[in-house]
Formats: sequence, structure tokens, C-alpha cells
Amino acid sequence: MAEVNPIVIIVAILYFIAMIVIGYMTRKASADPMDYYVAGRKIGAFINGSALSATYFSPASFMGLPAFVFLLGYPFWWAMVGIIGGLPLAAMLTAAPLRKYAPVSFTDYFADRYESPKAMRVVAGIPTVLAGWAYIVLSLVGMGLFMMAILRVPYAWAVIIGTVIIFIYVFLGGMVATSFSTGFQGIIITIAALISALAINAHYGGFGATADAVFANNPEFWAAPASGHLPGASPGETAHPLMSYWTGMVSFFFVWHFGFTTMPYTIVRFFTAMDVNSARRACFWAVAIGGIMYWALVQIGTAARVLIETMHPLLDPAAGIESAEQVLATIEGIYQVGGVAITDYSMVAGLEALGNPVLMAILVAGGMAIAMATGAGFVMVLNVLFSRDWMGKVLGNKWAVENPVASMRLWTTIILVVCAIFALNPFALVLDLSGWAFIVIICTTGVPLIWGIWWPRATKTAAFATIIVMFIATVFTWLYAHLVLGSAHFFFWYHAFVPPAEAETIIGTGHQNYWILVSIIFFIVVSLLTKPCSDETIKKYCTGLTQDE
Amino acid sequence: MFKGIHWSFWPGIIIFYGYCWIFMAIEMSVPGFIYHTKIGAAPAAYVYALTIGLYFIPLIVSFMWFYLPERDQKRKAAAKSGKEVDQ
Repeated sequence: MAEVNPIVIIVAILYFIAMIVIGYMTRKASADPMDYYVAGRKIGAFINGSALSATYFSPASFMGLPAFVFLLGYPFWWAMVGIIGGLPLAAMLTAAPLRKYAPVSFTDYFADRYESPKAMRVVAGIPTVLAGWAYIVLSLVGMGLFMMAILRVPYAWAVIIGTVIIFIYVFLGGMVATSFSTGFQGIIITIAALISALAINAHYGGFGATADAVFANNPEFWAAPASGHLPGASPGETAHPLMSYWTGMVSFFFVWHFGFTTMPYTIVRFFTAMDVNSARRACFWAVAIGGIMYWALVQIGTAARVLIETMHPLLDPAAGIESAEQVLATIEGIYQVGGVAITDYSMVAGLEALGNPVLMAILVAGGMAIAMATGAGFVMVLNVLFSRDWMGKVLGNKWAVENPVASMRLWTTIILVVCAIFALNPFALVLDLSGWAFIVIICTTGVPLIWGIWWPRATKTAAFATIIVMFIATVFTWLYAHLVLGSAHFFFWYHAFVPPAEAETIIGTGHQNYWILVSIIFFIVVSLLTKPCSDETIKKYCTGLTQDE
Repeated sequence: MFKGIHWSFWPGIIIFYGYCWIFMAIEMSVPGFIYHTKIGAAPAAYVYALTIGLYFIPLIVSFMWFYLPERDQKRKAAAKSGKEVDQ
């Protein structure tokens, strides 16, 4: 592999220094628990919007979504539209009412709305902990991959360095440091993605020329599901069997659509907003900043294959390395990081093919920024959950109640050490589970959260039942699809609908989005069959949050 | 369900899903539309899906969803203070 340009190293060091300085400057937050928990509810709309986009768009976005475009072709563009189109929903459905309610932790609303101060904190907390664990591990792995692939730092050292830097600023400044560092990271990520996309288009001579190069290299990229009618494309072929049906494209459009409205690490950012209007405005800025990043990531993923297959330095036809997959497999063989999928390297490899050190410097800052933003965001969700909610409110631990900041710092340390150990040698299941984590949150806590706010008839029994049943159902189907069918994205009931003769060539549409619909129906039916919460609770935590403006 | 949500929620929903579904339907029914329909030198999908669908429509909807509730709040507050002055 090529040597690292000094520019790349200098940019990475400057980025690390900036993060530590933010942590040091916000260390006074430890004097007041409310500053440490929710940044004193003083974060403005622009910083919060930038932080929202950086936190929400994890390495799964920065590396994983261009990899999906690389693999699934044009139909996946609509999934990216669906994700950004889901951001504004939060302004109306959760940001404004939850900021009005002004909680401290993610489980506060569930405990109050469903009249269960202890049990609901535990039940709603379990999927949150598992999702948080998967996401923090994913973030540390993503950070390690970026540092290793671009800075050539050994993977283990890359994970340790990244973890220590997150630890420093979260430990020192809590939510204040996390808000400002993440807001800063949101800008860096967007600039990195935008410059990378523009560099690709400049290399080919414009959007049209890039599209033509992609078509010349791989006509199936532009094929619509179930079509195969492009001149030059093989009849009936699409970029990937997952896009064989239109339902594949439509389901990917919806599968991540509702995440921003319900994910704990975005919800808690609304608690830090100055007021209701600021919380709504933050969603606008999240779209303005995150949308530019996605606009760019789509183009990076689109061009990744043609860049790798025509320009990558590891191409070696004599050695049989001719396709993008072969180049990525070679890279995987060099790096040898646990269960990381070869396509996860596609974004870095595509840009590496351009051979521009400044571009790689920008990319390393962007990649580390997004990984740290998501990791720190979920660390803040979990340390409040463990120290304030579980130790303090559920177990009544006196030390945690009397020393909230010290307790959160203790949990910050434990969480990061445990997740770093998993990240050092990530087994494939951990990385796959980060995809499941997204769905399980929407299906378990997401539905009782939104329906609790907007539907007076939502009941305590329905909330408990939905969280427990959907947790089991999503885990089972995810693991079944992953272990038995070969991919977590396949529809788990696939063999019941597809004749065995066609099973090799046609892959069922992913089941994840079906679970969201099932969860909504299940919650409504159980609510209608069970006893509603008291009038006082409904007035305070439902109608009072939504009908008094 | 959704009682009390600001009225701008529904037009916003129609704008976003309506826009996306119109273009998805066109892609489903016009063979080769995605790549061979061009705006300038680039496939039209760069404009209708990537630029307008991914960026501008969500941006417009998110603007509507903070601007219109704030505007109505101000109008209500102004009307209320006017009534108090009258009394």
C-alpha cells in the first residue's frame, strides 16, 4: 500500500486536538448535572441541527450507504431520499412535544406516559442498551477502519486512539462537549463528503460524464427493478437481486425513514434545545446540512465501482484482480479486520483510486468525525440510562443519586472500555446487529413513543407488549435471515413464497419495514383491547403536549 | 390520532410522498427513463431524485414545519395581546 502523505497526518492530528480542546473548554459542565445531562437546554438550532445530522448519520451512513449504492445500484438512491425525507417528520412528531415535556433521559417519557416509573425504565432500556452497544461498537470499528485505511495506523491502535479521544471529551464536558463537538463534526463530515463528490465529478468532467462512465463500466447500475431493458444491460438483470422487485426499492425507501423521529441518540438532542421552536428549527438545519452530505454520498457510491475497476492501484489483471470485489477482497486481506464486509471498504477505495492526498486528508477527518459523533451520542444516552435511570431511579442507589456527574463518568468509562474490547476484534454478527438495532428501536420503543404522544388511547399494556414482542420478533427474524438464508436483508419467510427452483436467482424483499407496520398495528389493537391510562396522565403527557399551542 | 398537530403537517406529507411516488411511478412505467432521459448532459434522475427529491423537497417541508407553526404562534400572541388591550 502507498505511503501516507504528511498532509493527511497533519489534518488528523489537528482534528484530534480540536476534539480535546472542545472537551477541555466545556469541562465546567461537570459543575451542574443538568448541564452534563442536557447541556442546560441552551443549545441553539444551528449547532443542534448540525449535531443531529452528525449523530444520526453514523459510519453506517458514511461508509455503509455508499457501499449499498455501489452494490444495489440506482434503485438505492430512493432509500437515501427516504432517509433525508424522514428528518422533517421529527419536527412535528417528537421534537416539539418532547421539548415541551422537557425530560432528562430517553426513558423518562415512557415511565411517565405509561405510569410505570420503574418497570418501564427497564423494559424500554433493554433495546436501547443493545442498540447502543451495537452502534458504539460500529462507530469504533468505523473509526478504526478509516484511520487504518487512510493513516495506515494498525487497527488496534486506531480503535484505542479513537476511543480515548471520545472518552476525553465526553468525560470532561458531558452533553455540552458532545453537542459542540458533534455540531463541529457535522460540518466537517458534510464538507468532506461534498468535496469528495465534486472531486469525482471534476475528474470525469461533470455529472453527465460521470453517469456515462458508470454506464459504460456497469450498465446494470442504472436498471430499474424488474426491468433489464437498458441497451447494453443483460436482459432481466438489475444491479443486485435485492432490487429484482419494485417492492425492494419501495421497502428500502421506508426501512430507515422513521429512524430520525425515534432513535434515542437523536431524541435526546431535542432535550438540549432552547425551546420548542428551536427544536423544530434544528430539524431544518439537520436537513440542510445532512442533505448535502447525502447528496454527495450518493455520488461517491455511484462512482465507486468505476473508479476502483479502472484506476485503483491494486488492480492487477495478471494476478486476476480485475473487478471491484476482487480489489476490495485484496484490501480486506491486507487489513484483516474481523467480520467487516468487503463492500465497507468501497467508499475509501473509490476515492483512493483518485490518488489525491488532500482528498484523503479531508476524508479521514470526515470519517473519524462521523464515527466519533455517533459513538459519543450513544455513550451519552447509555450513561444517563445506567447511572440516573437504572442505578438511581430503579435501584435507588444513593451514591448515584447524590453524585450524578461522577456516576455518569463511571459509566462512560465502563461503556467505552466494553465497546472498545468488542471493536478490537469485531465479529460479523456485531456489525450486522447494528442494522437490526435500527429496526428494533423503531419497532419497540418508537411506536409507543409516537403513539403515546399523539394518541390518548395508547395504553400501558400495549407499550409493554409491543416492546417485548417486537424485540423478540425482530431478533428472531434478523438472526434467522442472517444465519439460515445467508443475509439479514432477506425476507425471513422467503421460502414460503419463492419456489425452490427460483430461490437461487430471486431474493425476497427485506422484512424489516414489514415489522414497522406490524408493530404499529399490534400496538393499536392491544391498546384498543386494554385499559387506558388515567385522565390526568393523558392530559399531562399526551394532549397537554400536543394541543395547547 | 394526530389531533392537535399543526395543519401544515398534512400538506408537507402530501408534498414529500406525492413527489416521490410520482417519480417512482414514472420509473416503473417508462422503460429506460432513469438513465436515458437527460437534463443537460446528466440523467434526469440527478435532478428529480438526487437534487430535488433528496435535498430540496425535505428542505422545503422542514422549513414549512418550523416557519408556519412559529408564524401562527406569533399571530395568536398578537391577537391575544390585542384582546387584552381592548379589555
